[in-house]
Amino acid sequence: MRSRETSSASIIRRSVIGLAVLSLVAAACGGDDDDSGTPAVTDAPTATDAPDTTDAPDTTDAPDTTDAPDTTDAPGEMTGMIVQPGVCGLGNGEAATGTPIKLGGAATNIPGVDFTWIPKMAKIYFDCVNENGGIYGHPIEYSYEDGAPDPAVWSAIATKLVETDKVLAIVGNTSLLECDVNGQYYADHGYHPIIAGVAPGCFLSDQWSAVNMGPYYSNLGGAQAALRAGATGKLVVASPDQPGMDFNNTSVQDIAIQEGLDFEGILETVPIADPAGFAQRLVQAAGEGGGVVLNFTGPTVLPLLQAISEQGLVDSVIWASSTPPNDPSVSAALKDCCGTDWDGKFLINAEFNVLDSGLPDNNKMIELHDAAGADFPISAFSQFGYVIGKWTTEALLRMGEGADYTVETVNQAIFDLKDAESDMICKPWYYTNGSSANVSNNTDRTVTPQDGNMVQVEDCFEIEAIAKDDAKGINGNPLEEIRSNEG
Amino acid sequence: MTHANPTDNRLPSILTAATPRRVITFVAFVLIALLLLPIVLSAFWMKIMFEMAAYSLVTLGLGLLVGRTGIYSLCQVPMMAAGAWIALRVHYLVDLPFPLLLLISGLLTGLLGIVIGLPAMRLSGLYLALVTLMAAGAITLLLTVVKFPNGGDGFWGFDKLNSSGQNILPRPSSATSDIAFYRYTVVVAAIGFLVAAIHITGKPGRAWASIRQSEVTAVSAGVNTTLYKLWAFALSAAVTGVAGGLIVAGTGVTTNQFPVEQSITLLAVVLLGGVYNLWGAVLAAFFLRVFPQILDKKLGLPVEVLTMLFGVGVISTLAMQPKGVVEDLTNLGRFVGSKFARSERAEHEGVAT
Amino acid sequence: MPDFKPYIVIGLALGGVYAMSGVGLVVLYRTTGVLNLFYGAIGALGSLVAWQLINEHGWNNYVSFGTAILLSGVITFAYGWFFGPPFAARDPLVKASASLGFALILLGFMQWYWTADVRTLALPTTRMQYVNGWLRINWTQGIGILFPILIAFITVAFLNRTKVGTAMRALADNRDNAALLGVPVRKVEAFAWTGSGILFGISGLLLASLVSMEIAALTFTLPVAALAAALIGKVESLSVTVIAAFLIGLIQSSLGAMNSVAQYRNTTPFVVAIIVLVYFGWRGQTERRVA
Repeated sequence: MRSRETSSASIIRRSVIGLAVLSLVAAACGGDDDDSGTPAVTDAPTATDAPDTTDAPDTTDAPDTTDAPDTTDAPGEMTGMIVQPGVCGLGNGEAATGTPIKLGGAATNIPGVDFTWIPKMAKIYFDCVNENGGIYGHPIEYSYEDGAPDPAVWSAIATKLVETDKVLAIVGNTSLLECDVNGQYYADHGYHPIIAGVAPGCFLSDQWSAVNMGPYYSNLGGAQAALRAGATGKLVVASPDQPGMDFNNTSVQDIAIQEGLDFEGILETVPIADPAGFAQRLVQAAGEGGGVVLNFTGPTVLPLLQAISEQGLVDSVIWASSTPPNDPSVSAALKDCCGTDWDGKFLINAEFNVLDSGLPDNNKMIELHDAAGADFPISAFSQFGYVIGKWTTEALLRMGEGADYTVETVNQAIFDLKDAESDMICKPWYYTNGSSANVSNNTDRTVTPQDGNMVQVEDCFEIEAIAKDDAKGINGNPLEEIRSNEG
Repeated sequence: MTHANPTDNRLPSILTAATPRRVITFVAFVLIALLLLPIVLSAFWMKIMFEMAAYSLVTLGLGLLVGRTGIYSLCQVPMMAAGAWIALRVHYLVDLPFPLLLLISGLLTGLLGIVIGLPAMRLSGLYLALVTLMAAGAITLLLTVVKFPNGGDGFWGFDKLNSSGQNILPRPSSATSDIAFYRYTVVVAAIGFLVAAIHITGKPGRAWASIRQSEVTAVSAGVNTTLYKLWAFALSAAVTGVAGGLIVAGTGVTTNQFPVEQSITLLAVVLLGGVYNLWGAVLAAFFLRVFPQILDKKLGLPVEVLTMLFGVGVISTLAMQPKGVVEDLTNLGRFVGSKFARSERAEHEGVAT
Repeated sequence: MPDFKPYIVIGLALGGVYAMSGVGLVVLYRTTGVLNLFYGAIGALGSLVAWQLINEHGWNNYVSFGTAILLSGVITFAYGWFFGPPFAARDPLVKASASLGFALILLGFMQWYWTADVRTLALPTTRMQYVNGWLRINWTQGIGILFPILIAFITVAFLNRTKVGTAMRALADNRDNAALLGVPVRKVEAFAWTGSGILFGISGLLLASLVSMEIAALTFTLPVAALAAALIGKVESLSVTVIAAFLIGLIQSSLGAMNSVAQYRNTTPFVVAIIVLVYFGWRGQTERRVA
């Protein structure tokens, strides 16, 4: 008979960070932003590229904690950017009063999936830009729509933005579906949206460009972390039973074949009707020494993690994940339900820096968010919104003073955007570099829950470029081409 | 369009039912939809009007079942999904003209409707409603597993390396633009409503009315209840299947678009709109697709409010006004009409539009 | 051959949760003629309130659970008190549809008030485990398996041995006659509404803890197995309902072990219910009872 103590301290400070990531969007984040405890930050490897850390996940002890990530890779001296780190636009403190520049966005918002935090944070940033000189005196007038995952709804939203509101650019769109619906429409009307991408289609063309990398690459990043943590058996990836997810699972299949490992892709209806049974199935599928990459949203994966912990399966295989659960409220909930079971044991792929990095853009985001009294939490989503706002502002400012703002000129400026920097990402971002696919964010970190926070266990590493190999059944990804074009 | 008041013992036919007033109302409505709306409404609202036109066939299908035969089906949204699925599958199989595709989609969905309706031969009322709910749950889960055809091989026609979440059919060459396809949809919907009216005013309508009032009496009066119940299921599913075909060409569909809750919401709006009058179906489609946009875009209210409103609407409709909002509107219309045209008053009485 | 053993306890626990709601459905239907389709929403509301009290207001776990269960009873009672009489003479179908309307109201409210946050409800009982070889059972699962059986026995005893219970059975047979004989109809119905609401509340807490706290799922998708079980029991037999619920849970869970059909396992309650209902229909057994 084994009985464990009740997790008594259920009273947590969820009021600030209660909301959670619900998406399939890749994300990154860090510890809590409130005063509940000193955020624990691991001694992230100091190397810049593909680290070989394997220590954290397989030890039961907490990873060593040190100060914030070392600053060797911190963008201390950003060059070429008009918008300086941690500054809104021109940062001159003068309110913009000229003719406004109208921008619009849209995000999925249904019970269970709320992506509006991204346009909401972008709007907060634009408001700050307007207080700081605007675009050479022109304020940005930004609004956003929301909708359910129904093609009819998304088709109507694009029409409203373009033909009714007559916005000059589409900014901050985050949708389960839009990239599969509105490509031709935006092409016909000359728009190049800057978005956060979910569907695979968001990363296949330069009609739009996402600041994140989406589940296909994030799954791969999770699998890489699992391999480095010592997964030597079968690789299993489990995704929700939704369109495009079969495709997203193949990124893990590719690396499994390349490494000579067995593979199984599982699609599961969500919410998972019997998390305990599903946990058993995953462990039986992966077997001894196997690795499991979970590709579910926070609300879906939490009960599963809870069930895994309750059945004592945490150490049976190596658990990894795509980005969505990388959210402080998930780590807080894990501490609630499962104590320290998951500390260092759940390797989450993360595209953005931890939230408590202490770097200028991150701090500015938290400052703006608090000042605006926003009704959504600080999370990876707010980071998406912040950089979308920042880089759109940069593109507009690069048009120069006295520019003529039309749909054509503004979208050209956005399309031409290169060397966009922020301390939230591993390397500069660009709209497109003319490759056959468009994944300009392709370098990630790995984070893990630790004592109620999300902490970094691996610093920036490259998502594996895998070449197509029909003989072996590898579909391959275009990262090698993209990186060679990056130069 | 007839007014199927349970106490209305007349036996109408399409000819006697087609009073000048009804014909004029119907033609005027269709003409306004075809000609006036595209001029006065923006491109955005025209997309919404397309949805309303297509969904009016879905609400018509359910309204027919509930209002005419007294059968509550909670499997109507899966029927629409099935219509879309069939249209896509047939499209990837053979290259057919769009009207033929719609027809096939309607016929095959009608067949599926008969299968779903088979338990109706031995069950009725609450039990039958729950069987349709269970069928809806099973079909919805099946759809999330097999997904919509996207040009793959095999019976299910799904290629998992095709990453797109949207499944869409090419529109007919005569109606490729949004406005043109909207008009196309209005015409198809009008035909659907006419077919329904012909049924209601003909022999099937009389059989359904007698089944609704008492199945025992219907049998003793020599009505083949099995045949006419299945006929109702088939007709209901067929118009819904056609709607699925229209939607998949108009805007496309995606797998997770049809949760079971939607069938419940659909029943709610259909009851709310009014099931004893075909115009109730139009109103229900308005509640389902246009009203949320007004709430959101014009009034800025959260979407959850709509769910609550539908709930309140269902309870109050069932408790107080079983004929639905359309009856209130009709009464309002009569009241206004009587003010302006006292001379025609006699004709108004007792005959709903 | 897949290893089914770990799935047995899991399936039985889920089945037990379904059984509890199923018992509530049957008792309420037998007494009032209402097939309550908002039972899932009540359970969801209860679990969210419990979560709120524990995490936002710092209440003691057990006090919060008690409050939530009580609230489930009170709201169910309130619905019965206000909406019972206007629909009393109507068709069971209309009564059920009205309860569906109430489910929509509750659903809309919950989705608006609690939004889509990530939540878990860790019952203290979940941390207490018994492990022996392949057998691993925690007390939440234990309660899930044993409690509904106990409830069923208590309910049967209650219906057979107490005054209110006898009155409830009288109502089930004929409402008008019972009233003529001096049975306090409204009081007895109120008792049934409250009691079933409490069962829905308990079952909602267990479901939230064992499965998920996603609101729409808790309201419609997950508890549908309870409805299926009640229907198999013809919304009349408590024992058949309980057994059916356990079987559905067991089958659903075991299918998860077989890769080829695992994806389809969630259709179990639907398919089982359809087959059984159609079979009943064929034998002409249901018409008198429910239709």
